[in-house]
Amino acid sequence: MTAYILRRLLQTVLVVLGVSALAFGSMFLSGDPTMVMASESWTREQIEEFRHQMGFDRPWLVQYVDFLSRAVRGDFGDSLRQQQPVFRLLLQRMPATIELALAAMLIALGIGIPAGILAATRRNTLMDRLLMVGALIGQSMPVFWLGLLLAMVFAVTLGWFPVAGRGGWNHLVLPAVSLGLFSVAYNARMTRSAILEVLGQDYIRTAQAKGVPWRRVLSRHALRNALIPVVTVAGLQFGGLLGGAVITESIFAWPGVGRLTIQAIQGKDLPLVQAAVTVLATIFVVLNLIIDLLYAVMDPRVRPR
Amino acid sequence: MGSRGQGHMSRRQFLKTTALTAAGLGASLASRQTLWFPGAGTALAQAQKPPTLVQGVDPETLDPHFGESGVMANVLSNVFEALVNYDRRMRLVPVLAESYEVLSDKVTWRFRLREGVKFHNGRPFNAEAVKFTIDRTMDPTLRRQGLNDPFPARSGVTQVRIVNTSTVDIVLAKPNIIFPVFAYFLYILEPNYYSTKSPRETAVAPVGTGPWKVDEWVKGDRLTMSAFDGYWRGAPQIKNLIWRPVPEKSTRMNMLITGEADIAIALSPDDIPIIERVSKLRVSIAPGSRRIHIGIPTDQPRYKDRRVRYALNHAIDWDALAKGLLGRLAPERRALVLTASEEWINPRLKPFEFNRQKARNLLNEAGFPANQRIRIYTPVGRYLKDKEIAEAVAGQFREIGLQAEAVPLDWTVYTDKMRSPGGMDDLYLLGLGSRFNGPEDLSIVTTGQIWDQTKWITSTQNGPRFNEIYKQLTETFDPKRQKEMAFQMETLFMEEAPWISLWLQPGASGVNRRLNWEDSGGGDRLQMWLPGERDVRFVAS
Amino acid sequence: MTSRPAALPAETGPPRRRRRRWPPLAAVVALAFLAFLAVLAVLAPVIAPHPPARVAMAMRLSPPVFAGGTWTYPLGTDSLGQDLLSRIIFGARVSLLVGVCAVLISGGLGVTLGLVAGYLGGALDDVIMRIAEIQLAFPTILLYIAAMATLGPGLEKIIIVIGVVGWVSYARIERGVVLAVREQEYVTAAQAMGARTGLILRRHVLPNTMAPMIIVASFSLATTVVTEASLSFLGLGVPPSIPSWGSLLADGRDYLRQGWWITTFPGLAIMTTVLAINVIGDWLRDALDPRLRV
Repeated sequence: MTAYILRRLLQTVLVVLGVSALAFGSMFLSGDPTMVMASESWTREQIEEFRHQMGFDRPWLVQYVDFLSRAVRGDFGDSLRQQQPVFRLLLQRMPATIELALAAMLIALGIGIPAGILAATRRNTLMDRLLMVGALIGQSMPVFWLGLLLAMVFAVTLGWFPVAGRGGWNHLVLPAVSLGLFSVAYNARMTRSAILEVLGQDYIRTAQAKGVPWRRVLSRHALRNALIPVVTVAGLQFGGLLGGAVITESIFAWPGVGRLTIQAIQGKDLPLVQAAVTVLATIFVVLNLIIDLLYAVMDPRVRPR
Repeated sequence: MGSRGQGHMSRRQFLKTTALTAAGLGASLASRQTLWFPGAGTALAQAQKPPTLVQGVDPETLDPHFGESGVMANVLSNVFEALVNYDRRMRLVPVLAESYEVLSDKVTWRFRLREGVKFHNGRPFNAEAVKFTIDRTMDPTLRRQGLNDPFPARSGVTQVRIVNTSTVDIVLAKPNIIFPVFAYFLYILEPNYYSTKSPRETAVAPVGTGPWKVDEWVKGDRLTMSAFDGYWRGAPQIKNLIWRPVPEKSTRMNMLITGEADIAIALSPDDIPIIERVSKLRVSIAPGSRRIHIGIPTDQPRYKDRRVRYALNHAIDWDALAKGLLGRLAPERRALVLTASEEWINPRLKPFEFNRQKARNLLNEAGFPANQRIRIYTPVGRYLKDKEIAEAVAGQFREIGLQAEAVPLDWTVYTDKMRSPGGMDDLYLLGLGSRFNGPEDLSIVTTGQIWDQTKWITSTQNGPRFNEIYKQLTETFDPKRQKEMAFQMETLFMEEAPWISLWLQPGASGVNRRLNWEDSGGGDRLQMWLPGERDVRFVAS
Repeated sequence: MTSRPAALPAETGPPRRRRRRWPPLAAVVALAFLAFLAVLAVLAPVIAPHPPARVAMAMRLSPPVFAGGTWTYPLGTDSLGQDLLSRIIFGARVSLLVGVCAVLISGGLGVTLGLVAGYLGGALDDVIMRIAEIQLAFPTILLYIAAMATLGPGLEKIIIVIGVVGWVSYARIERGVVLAVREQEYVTAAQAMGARTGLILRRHVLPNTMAPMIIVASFSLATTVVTEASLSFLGLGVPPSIPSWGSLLADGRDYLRQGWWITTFPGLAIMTTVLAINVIGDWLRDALDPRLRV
């Protein structure tokens, strides 16, 4: 067990290093970063001065080590456009992003899992069919279209929720639904199949044969085992929701990290892009680690290699 | 090209606007007051929730010397003031200055400053503040930290001399009659605050002399302003303003409709009927400032012959184009849009008439190869209906037997093309902001301007002469002489026809009827209190 | 959506009865729909009633035929009077072209790397799998946006970007399958007979891993169609001169009130296509490899 945990930790450190290297390297993707960031009106001297000031004239390995050592302390430099430390800009946006991702996750689990259970226990009934067709459609609906339609129907026509912005819980509903619907559909399908698979196992048959009531078989034996993979995926989903809400954030004017990053990408604000990408990826990797460790603790049988 | 341009409207345009807008602003301030707020001001203001103004993005910074976006200008035009500002009729009027003149050496501009003006932090506005502000735009240390105000380079200022606390001399390297226009872009900063705070601090907390001050800025979410009680024109009646960045246009429209937003600028003509169908909303239209045209690269062999350029101009069915695309926003008639304000337009110049036969004849005479493909490059979503204009113009060219097509380009691709060695190699649709100052407007088609891709100064007969007159014009202080020279330049330009002039892009905003705000200047600046007027109020319904 | 963790919808369940040799009705319909779409895309210039970029300002915002429009514009027109049906038909070209090409690229990359990692193992395996993990850590949509913003819009660029980014799920699953196949008798036998590694991989390993790869490909095709649409929606996809379903939706969003059809039909096109691909993916998974999990 300890060896496994140690190995996973080491792997995570390696991946985070790789993430930072990629984020750092992305700066050079479009050629000379000085020229990317330089204003068109600058003279040659100003450009060279800027290059020196940003440290772009040093060997890249030195630059990377410097980037890393500062990043560890939460210092990713200042935004080129906003004259603010980029890490502070990111932190300011984090609560909104986490709030939205949590709400979407809540919907994804709160609706997805019950729907999956319902479908599995009523297998091959009309209910099952309807739920699964609904899930397929939900999975196929592009989020930008969904968002526009939701806003039109529930905010403008019916007036149940505000159109945009962050505020009370009612501001959260539409963006969370449009962000979470894909995961609802996914979780429903996955829960259903996981339960059906568990129900086919010997120990379930044994329990049933021993006369354990069906409801108890379901809740005690089937659900517990079936939900392990669902929860595992949910962790990854949460990581994806954190960084993947760009379109939802745009449509609902949600002040999250995604919009900040897009703005930075479009404004060629490289320090901000680097920081955003590194932080989001690191969160994802760490979440992943936590889930793996939990998984190993919960179910030693299926401990990964 | 900064997008800060203000609109200057002629009286005719102005009258048209007032006729269009709901209640005819400006003709008589007194009658307006009795009409709109019969003494209900304060009580009403307290009962209302603060007006919310929506635009596409947040300002990148609130330090005016560090940013140049139109979004920032919209926000800061309510927090800061410059020595001069444009009024609703688009005349440049003194604001923080009381008057200004150029001294006999032709390079020294003397500004007499308004007294009794205070900054948000209570400190007085004076000559020192003006000197500090200009010196700061040239500060090499700050420039290294990202200060990018174009003021020094544009204006050619060499030094600022304090004559006394309320008089300041700004000295230029060479005479330049346009200087007041540059002064309009220079927001005056509070010296003590801006000299002791770091750019990190000033970027989020501005201190100016304007009617509102910034209270709180939650980036990406909202920026809250409150009335500045010590404002020299009196404290604004509306105590709070909220600015919100909303990237999606459709979302901004939805917010207007549900009442989550009160003002959304830069509507497209298609939005107007929607707004008008909602009883609590109205549309506010302002005449345009951006000069929409199709440039003809005169250095390309097939466009070298003037007659070809005339033909392309004659092929335009302007009425169909304008009415079809801009609808209610369409200007009254075709005009030479080289200069935006009517007083600077040579009255003897007639715009090209729509005459397809004439166009065909001219092409024949010039021996234009009709089977060649003509492209019209256009940005997408940058100007009102840009792609649509290019498509429609291409269609009209096809009517005279040309093989024309619109080529929509991403703005970055478009500007890359402009900056490439040969520049634009075929027709291009472009919109140029105007400062409502004839000489300034004309300067855009002189040599060395990236925004003139016609290259007509170097490739046509009249070009060099135009350039020469322009140089003299910048040193000519006699207003009558200035006009003569401008008219002469316009004639030279018209003879060569390197542009297919379309129109000045109008501005329209959606406004909640509870506010009496009216759009001004093509929607380029969202100003809540213009010079020479009362501040924006809530309107009793 | 593109941004979500790349994973396959799992609907394994207990092994199904395999009585019928024909795919279920849903899959047949889905296949027929995709075939129909492919024909539309290939023959777009012949089938489309109008050139996709023909502007008719007089006819702008005409409703579809069943909502008071005319048969000239069966699905109505957009804000430029361009025929929506023709643009959707031409848009199918972009969606399918981007989808298929990107899937081929990521499939080729992913299968090769997964094969190598799984069969050879060792340090190479570790390196490839770590790179996969690193890439998985980045929010996919931001990766696409950054890449497209750097490269600028372009049909070939979007294909390459989506293609290159998408290799991970192939590689990870291929590797897993190879680990199992490697121990099979026919492989060990070939090894014992001294066959060269390349030959073993081509002859014995690769063919036996194709079924899961086809399944992965079908689901990633669905994701790709949505990704292209999302990027075009953000103005970062195909250049503005090419109609794509995503850009049609993006253009139409400002006309939700005046012309609901401008967004509805491209939206439906994306949705039904993705739905059809997902249905086929489900069927393929059930038919080829019911045990395949996320």
